[in-house]
Amino acid sequence: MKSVLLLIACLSSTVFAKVEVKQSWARETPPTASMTAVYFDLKNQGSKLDELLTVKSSVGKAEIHTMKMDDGMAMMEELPSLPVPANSLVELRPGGIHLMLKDLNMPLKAGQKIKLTLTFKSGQLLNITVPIKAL
Amino acid sequence: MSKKVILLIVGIFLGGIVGTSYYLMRQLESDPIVNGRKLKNDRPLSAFNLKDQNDQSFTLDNLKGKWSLISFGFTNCPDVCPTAMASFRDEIKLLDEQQSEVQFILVTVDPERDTAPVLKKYLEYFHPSIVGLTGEISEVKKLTDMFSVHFQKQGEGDSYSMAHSPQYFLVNPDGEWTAMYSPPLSRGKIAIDLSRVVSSSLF
Repeated sequence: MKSVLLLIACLSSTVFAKVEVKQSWARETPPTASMTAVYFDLKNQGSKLDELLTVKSSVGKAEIHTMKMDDGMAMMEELPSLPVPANSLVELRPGGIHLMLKDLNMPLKAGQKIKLTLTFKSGQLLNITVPIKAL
Repeated sequence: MSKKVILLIVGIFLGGIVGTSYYLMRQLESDPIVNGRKLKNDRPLSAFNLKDQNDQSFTLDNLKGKWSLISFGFTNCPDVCPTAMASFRDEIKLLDEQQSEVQFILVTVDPERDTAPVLKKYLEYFHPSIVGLTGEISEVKKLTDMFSVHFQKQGEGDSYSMAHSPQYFLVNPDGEWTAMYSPPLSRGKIAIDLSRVVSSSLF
């Protein structure tokens, strides 16, 4: 019985998960760098606004950043959260919104994978596996 | 094969050559810079004194005799700078044998952390022919001022970041700033322009 409930719980969290992560990748760290960026698509298929609040990783500290232009300078700005409007797609891309992974405790090499846990305002938790790419 | 057919083939062949040459001549007459912003007048750069990743002196004279594409950044940068360096690497590869006519340069706006050995390790990862420049902050500022590049420290402690202008600056073999590029640029755009400026300056 317990396992059936667990199965239902697992299924429901996947079936009813409103926000999905697609096309994720993290940039391989050049030697000398102790930080990198993670990119992905956040797809909200629900009819309510959700918000990415925090991201956790065992390899380093994750922050939600965006690149903005100020006085002709490209500047990183930390976002307190990332809204994902209903029925829409938010793209994290080089030169735009991205996750910054800093204070890395190991270099990230192409071919490896890292695990991230995303927490949303709706209470949804997403565990994702992100491939490292050298681009 | 009849004489007529041979004549026809020779005719098509010659026509092809004439047409292609005409097209090439027209290409060379038009401005070679199509993907960047050309300055109305080339601006001569003034003296500066920096060093490259091999600890060799690098001055205005090193910008003369070949084309240079200059960017500003720092190595502890998660997004903008690695994207720029990966793009430099791709454009260098696309330029193939013409790459010897062009030098791709990264000037650090964080010379405090980006010493010559750090730049060397960082740039070898992307492409060993990219020139990395560091030195006294006052000398870095001379160069940034010439291109109206702004930069500023963000945050405190060891993990501070540097805000900086993301553009690339094209300098001609006379040491004059002639055009600028605003990333992101899709792959090949810079190589196309550089290949054209290099060919047009050979004639």
